[in-house]
This record gives sequence, C-alpha cells and structure tokens, in this order.
Amino acid sequence: MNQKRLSLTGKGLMLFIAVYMLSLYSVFSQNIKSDTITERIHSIPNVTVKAKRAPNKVTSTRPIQSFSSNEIEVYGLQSISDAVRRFAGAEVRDYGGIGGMKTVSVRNIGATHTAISYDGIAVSNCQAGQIDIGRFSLDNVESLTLSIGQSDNLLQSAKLFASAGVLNISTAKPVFRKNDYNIKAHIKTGSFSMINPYIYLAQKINKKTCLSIDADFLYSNGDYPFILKNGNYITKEKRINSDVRSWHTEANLFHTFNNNETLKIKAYYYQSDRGLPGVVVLYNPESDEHLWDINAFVQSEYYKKITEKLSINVQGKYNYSWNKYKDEGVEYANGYIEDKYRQNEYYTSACVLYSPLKVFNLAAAQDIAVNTLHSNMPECPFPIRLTSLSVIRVRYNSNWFKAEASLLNTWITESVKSGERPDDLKKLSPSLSFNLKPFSNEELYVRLMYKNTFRTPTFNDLYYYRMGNRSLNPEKAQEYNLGLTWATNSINNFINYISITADAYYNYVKDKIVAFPTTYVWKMANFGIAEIKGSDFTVSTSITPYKGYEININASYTWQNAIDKTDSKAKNYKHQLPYTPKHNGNVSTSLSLPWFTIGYSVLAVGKRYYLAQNTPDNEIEGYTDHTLSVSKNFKLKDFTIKFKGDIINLTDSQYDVIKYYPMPGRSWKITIGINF
Amino acid sequence: MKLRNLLIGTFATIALCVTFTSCTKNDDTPNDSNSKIELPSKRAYILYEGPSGYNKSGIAFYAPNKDADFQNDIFELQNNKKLGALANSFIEYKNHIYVVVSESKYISKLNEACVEVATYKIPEGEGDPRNIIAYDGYLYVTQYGGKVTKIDANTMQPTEEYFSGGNNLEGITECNGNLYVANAYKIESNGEYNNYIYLTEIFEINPKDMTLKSTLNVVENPERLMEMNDKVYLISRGDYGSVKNTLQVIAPETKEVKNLVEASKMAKGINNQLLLINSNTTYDANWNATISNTFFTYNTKTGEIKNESFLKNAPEELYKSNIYLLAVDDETGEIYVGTSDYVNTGTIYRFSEDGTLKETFDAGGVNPNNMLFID
Repeated sequence: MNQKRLSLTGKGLMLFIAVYMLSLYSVFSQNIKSDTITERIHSIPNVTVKAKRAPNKVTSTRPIQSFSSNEIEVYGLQSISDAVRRFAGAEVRDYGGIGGMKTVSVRNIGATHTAISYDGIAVSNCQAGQIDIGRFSLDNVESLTLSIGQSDNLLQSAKLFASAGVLNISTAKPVFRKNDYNIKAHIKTGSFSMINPYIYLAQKINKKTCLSIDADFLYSNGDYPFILKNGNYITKEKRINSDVRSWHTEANLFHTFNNNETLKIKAYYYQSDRGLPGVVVLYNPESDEHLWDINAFVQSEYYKKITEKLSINVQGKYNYSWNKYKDEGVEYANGYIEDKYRQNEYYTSACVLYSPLKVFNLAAAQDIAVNTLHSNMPECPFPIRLTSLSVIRVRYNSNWFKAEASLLNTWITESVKSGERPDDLKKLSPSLSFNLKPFSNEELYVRLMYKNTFRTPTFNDLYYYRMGNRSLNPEKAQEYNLGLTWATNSINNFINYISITADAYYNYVKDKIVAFPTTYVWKMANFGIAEIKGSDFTVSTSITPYKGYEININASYTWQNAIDKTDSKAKNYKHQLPYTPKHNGNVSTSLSLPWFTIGYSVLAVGKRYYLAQNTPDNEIEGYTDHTLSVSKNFKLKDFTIKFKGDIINLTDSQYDVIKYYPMPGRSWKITIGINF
Repeated sequence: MKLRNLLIGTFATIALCVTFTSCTKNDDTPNDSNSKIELPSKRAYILYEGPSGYNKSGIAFYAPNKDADFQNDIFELQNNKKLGALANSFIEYKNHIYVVVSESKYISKLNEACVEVATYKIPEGEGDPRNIIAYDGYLYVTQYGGKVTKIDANTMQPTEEYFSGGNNLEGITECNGNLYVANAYKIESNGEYNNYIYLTEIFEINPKDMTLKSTLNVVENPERLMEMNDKVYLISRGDYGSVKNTLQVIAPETKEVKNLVEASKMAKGINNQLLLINSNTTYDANWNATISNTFFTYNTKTGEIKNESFLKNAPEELYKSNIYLLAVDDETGEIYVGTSDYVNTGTIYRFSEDGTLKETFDAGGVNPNNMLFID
C-alpha cells in the first residue's frame, strides 16, 4: 500500500471518512477490506487520511462511481446535476437554468427508480416519485456516489436496496486541527445576476461532541439569452420568468460515545421560490407559472459496534414537504390556479450486521415508513401509505471471490378517505452479485450482477384528479451487469494510479406506468415495455510528471441502445427511447501546478430523439459542453483564502437537454472563500 | 419577442404581393401566390396539433388524385418557419385558409398553397384562441377566458365589437345569421380548493354587434358545433363519467335543444347525412382500457339514425383506435378517418363514398384533427 497517502496528525479525532476514500484502500490493499463491509471508519484515532482515490470502485461487485469534493472543485463541476451527468450510465433530465428541474435516471430505467440518499438516509417524494436534485447545493458536499443496483454498504437501511440505483450525497463532517472551531465562508457570483453566499460554522463542544451549522442563499434572475431556431429563422431570445431564490440551512450534531458508538443528528431546512419559464412556445412569450417549495426534516443515525462481530445502525426521520404551484391566466375563473401539496413522512430503520467469520457477513434491515399527502386538488383522497421494507443480505468475501445475495420484502398498505383503496402490495425482490479476482497480485476483477427491482406507483399515479388509477401495479425492472475492472497504483514515478472499468448491461422494464390516452381521457396505466442494452467505460488516473505538478483525468463513455417494445403495431416499436443518445461521454481533467490549479471538463452527447418516434424531424443534435476553471488557495498563518473562476459552456454552445428548454450559453462564475 | 416582428414583417411583405395579385383571382383557381412548389388544383390539407408541449403543429399536404407528392409540413416548406404549438382548427374562406394556433396564440391567414399572408396575434393577457368560423366577411374566434373576437377576414384587423362572457369557450358555428358558441368549462381556484366545472351553455350571439341574444341549456361540456340544413348540431363531451358524449340538435327558431344519440365525432356527409362516430372506452378491473368505435349516420332531413356502419371494410384496428379526425370531401363524398396515439404520427384511412377502404397513409404529424379539401 502506498503509505504516502496517510499522514498522522491531531489527537482523538472521530473521523467519518467517506466511502470513497476507503475505496482506495480496497483498491490497493487487501488488508483492510473489512472496512468495506460497513463503509465506515469506526474510529481511527490520531489519523487523518489524505488519500487520492480511484473514483470508480474496482473491487465492488456492482458499478459504483463517485466524485470527491476535491474533484468537484478542481474539475469545475457546477452543481450536483453537473457532476452526476458525468457518471457513466446516468441520465440527467435538465430543464435548463438554475431553477429548472433536474432528475437523474440510471441506465434509462427511469428517474422514479433512482433513490437519493442524503447523508445515508433516503430522501423521499411519494407524490411525484422523483427527486429534483437541483435543490441540493454542492457547498458542503464531501462526495457524490452513484451505485448501480445498490451500494456496497451492508449496514444500511432497506430503502436503499429498494431501487435500481442510488445516488448518495454525503456532506463533510467537521475536522478540527488547531482550533476547536472551523469557519468557512464563500461567496459566488456570476452571470444572470447570480449571487450565492455560504457560511459554515463548526464547534467542538467537548471531546465527544461537535456541532456544525451551515447556510446558503441563492439568487439568480435566470434571464439568460438563448438562440431560437424556427425553421430558417434564427432569433436571439431571452428566458423570462426564470428567477430563483432559495435558502438552505442545516445543523448537524455529532456525538461519539466511544470508539464503537456514535450518534448523528441533522436538522435541515430548504425553501425556494422560483418562476417556471416553461417550454419555449413559438410566437407566445407569456409565462406566468411559479413554484414555491419548503422542505424540512430532522434525521438521526445511531451506530454501535456491540462486539467485533455484531454492529447495529438505527435511523429515524421526520420529513415535511410542501409546495405550491401557481399559474395565472384568464382561462381560470378567478384569474389564477393554485395547486398545493403537503407531504409528511415518518420513517425509521434498524439494521444489524453479523460477521461470524472473517469472510462471511450477514446483514438485515427493517424499515417502516408512513407517508401522507394533502392537496387541494379535486377529489384528493388524502392517502396514508404504510410501507414495510425488510431485507436480508449475505456476503462472502475471500481474497479471490466475493459473492453477495439479498432479498427484499416489500409490503405496502394504503388507506384513503374517499373511494377505493389500492390493493396491498407484497413483493419479494432478489439480487445477486459476484466478483472474481483471478490473479492474486493483480487488481483485476470480473463482476456480475443481477437485480430484480420495481417502483411503487406514486400518489400522483394513483390519485391524480381524473388521471389516477388505483389499480396500478408496480413498474418492474430487471438489471443485469457484466463487468471487468482493473486498477493499479504507482506504476512508476509518474503514474500514481490508474483504474479502468468496463461494464455491459441489459435492463428490461415492464409494466411501465404511463399516462395512457383513450378518447379524450387520459388514465395512468401499466403499459410500457423498454429494453435497454448498453455499456459503460470509465478510466481515471493521476499523474505526477514533475514534483509539485499533478494531472488528474477522469473519463467515461456510454453506449446505449434503449428501445421501446411496448406495442409491436406502434410506429415507434423498437425505436430508441426519447432523450437517449447512442453515444455520450465526458472527460474531466485537472492540472495542479505549484501556483494554481486548472480544471477542464468536456461533456459530449450524441444525437437524440425528443419524441418516441425516431424520425429525422424528431431529432435533436448532439452537443458538447466545456467548462474551464482556475483556482488558487492562499495558505496564510491562520486561514486559507480561496479564489476560483469558472467559465461554463466555454464554446457558447446552444443546446437543449429537453427540447425547447434551452440551456444557458457561455457564463462565468467567481468564488471567493475563506477557511479558518 | 423578435419573432413577432418577423411575423409582422412577413405579413407586410407578403400582404403587398397579395394585394396586387388577389384582384385577378377567382374562386375556381387556387390562390397559390409565392408557392415554392407546384400544387395540383385538387388538394387536401391535414392539420395536426403535435404532441402537447412541443412546437410540433403543422399542415400536411395530400393530393387525393395522386398527382403530387405528400408533404409532411407544407406550412414550414412555404414559410420557412414552424406553425407553432397546438393548431386547433382551420377553415377555408374566400380562397384563404385561416388557422387557429392555440398555444402560440395567433391566427394565421394563408393562401391556398399555405403561404402565410397575414396573422392576427392574440393580445397578451387574453386567452388562447380555440375555434373559428367565417361569416359575411368576418372571422369569429372563440377564446379561453370568455371572448369571441371578430376579425376582418380581409385585413386581419379586429373590430371594436367583440363578445365577452362565459368561461372557456370552445366550438362556434353560424346558423341563420346568428352565432352559436359553446361555453365548455371553468376552473375555479380560491387558494383552498380547485374545482373543475363542466358548463352547460350555448350562447346565441348577434354577429353584427356581438351582443348576446339568448343562452341555451345543453348537456355538460359542449364542444363541437356545426350547422347543417338550418339546424345546429352539437357534441358535448359530458363529464367523462356518467354523462356521456352526446349529439344534440338545436332548432334556432324555437331554441329547442334535443338530445339525439351518444356520439363523439361528427362530420357533414353528402345527401344530408351526418356521419357519426361513437368511441366507447371500457375498463377492466385493473382499469386497462379498451376502445370500441361504432360508425353510424343520422339523416338530418328525416331524423333517422342508421346504425349500419358507413364504413364497409375498415381494418380491424380502426375499431379499437383513438379516433382524432373525421372529415368528408364534399366534392367526392370520400370519407377520411384519422387516428392518434398521442405519441406517433397519426394514420389517415381514406374511404370511398360508399365506405370502401381506398388507402391508409401517415398524417404527417401527431394528432391530426382536421382536413380541408380544395378543388
């Protein structure tokens, strides 16, 4: 193991080191693989890890990709969605601008099949099923990880097993070196009147307890110019009603009872107020839609390693979310319409991990969630959903062979104030994965995964006025993955590491929940079938050509053939699914010099179709999006000052991710920050 | 918006050309000034809406006599720009075509080759235009928000008189010198609750001064109106529940409204026949939908309903498809039925007057809703 990555400092620190740093160890050493069981460092007194890591975990039986905060910083990644869209096999639907909705789907299975976890606890939205990742800021993010299937962590809630992919957003935990406090502050400003101040305070209360509070505010008028092509006419337009104001704050309490027992409590508040510019309608620039959101939650996580062989993890969460949509116009009798939704979630999870042998682990988790919805829509039945998720997971992990199996049991029952209630849902979903390390001295792995998963109909699917269908079945997906991974460290004095992954996959989605039209009436139905074949490749490396100089490269490429197999008589039968390029890829690079760091990243997306039928008329051109970033940290005696400048969409490419939701052209951003 | 200037510019330039050429026109020669392609004198246009949320409306050109190639979007071909979002209806009047583009909120005036000669832009703050008729030199356009705008068909300038009333207006027709307008539905919101209310009113309006003459009570959610043999035929959509799509007839003299039969589409056939389609959707226990269409006729002279299908050898799938268009070529009596799955390009089935299937072809775009035949 390349020990230069470890240095010793401080005393008695409780380190919660991200999953991804650990991947380094598992890449380069077999000695600490037990750490990958819970993906947590229980406590490493006196140790601070300054690890360069291979971002894509080669030892995992499933594809797992991640970005650390440092990579996000040096590559000039602008937001969570900007980072996620660089993961192989991830599709981000981006409706443009800071306030535009952004959802993530894994390998085209659908955004409702992707779970988002925030510091280890799932974020839910039973109403719409998909989470807008645009609302999470990058300010205090320590790492972003996308796991296909499920993550490697055995000691986690059942909910994070219950989807086709998991995006985990981990925020940074305080690390105290000289002082008993940390203060970080920065301000970002940029094009379209964007201003984004951020402040972070952490205080060590005593040897065992510390507290952190952070807050950020974001404003942008969002009135970015764009070029509209209408037949032969090309006009310069401006996005209107695209302003956004959002405010987020959270407080975290970390308590360490002893080396084997910890407690984390988080209180989170977010609110936003944004114009919805909507689709660009030719000849009609009017736009009156507006959306207000509030999300608040309190979550806690208690961990205890009872014996060397037995650990437990207990989580609890209360989540409140509210949103109001308003549209104005004479088509409404009172001149406007307001749709209001209020959701509550009461959630608890208990997990236990038993490791009777060094090579054998057994984990079980039980989650209970209660979700409610109130809305002012006509005929809202005010549903209450009780969900029980139980999972057992076994893992065998020898030096050359790793195998894992899990079985998830889902039971959902719902009550409604009016109308018929949907049938209870009972379902077993198995998952299997293996990997093989054929050569003891080579970090080369062959991996294989199968996962049977589904997504539950959302409250909108079931109860939306007129369209809802209370007889819906879950939407089912099968995931298969076969991959080859390889990594090596220090080939010579130049190359610090290389890691390469290549995966081929096949997904089959049936009973897709779609709005199904009959004459004049649309009703939700289990109708669609999709077949997705693809392959993902990732490469990452770190090179030190000369002392003090370092180059990091992270690249990925995805080929995907995702076709609609719903109806053999339909004109779009076997056509590529909308918004699915055959080819897309990206390269992110950073060059660290003694004076400053330069980041450059490019994303290239091939042609796509924006409607189901693959006709030339429905095609959208491919695009490239380049970002250039320069940063410099000045380390003074007691503090560090940080300067950073970004040019986003350097070539001023005009493209749409979603047709007629134009993305901004070239823009700039400056960040000035200070860390104590 | 610059495009508005562009529209005005196009209008100004082309209007000048047309002013010089239109004097020589007569009703028998198609008005094809500035057309980029040669079009046969017998031609059909198919208006399609496109899927919701996209600027995918257009007009397809079809030559019934097979003497010219099909064009998926002749509007874009002739005008180098797109028609816009949700083209809801079009009519022919005095050698011109008038298209209502609802979400793009304008009325386009085209010559008979679909070259745009003028536009009328709905002012900001007013509701989307929905349906149109022409009568006595003027266009009458229904709008959401309860307005019927009267526009000079020649100059495309609105008159000072307009009708204001009702909520979301849909169909419109003229009969014996009066306008009949469907007041379809309203959406109420007071912040605490939202309510979707189907209305039951037809407004009888004097087209001269645009005043309300009377209000007639009809089945919920009146939508399509059509004049035939001095009577007004109306289809109400019902409440999508127990109140079904209903064909009604209004006698203008007595103001009597009579329910005739369940029907969801109608078209003026030849020999006083009103061609009707009823689309019935049934759901199984899991709400899986099955559509079944019946094709039948109503004799507007005798009042007789003939349940025998007006189609002889329609393909099986037509009985189960979502029917979006029913049109009759008034010269030949040929029947055109268009279907839509809201996703793919629609399909048009062409039948001879006696209901024999002649051919099936793509509609040019998604959701074909209307056809015009120019001789």
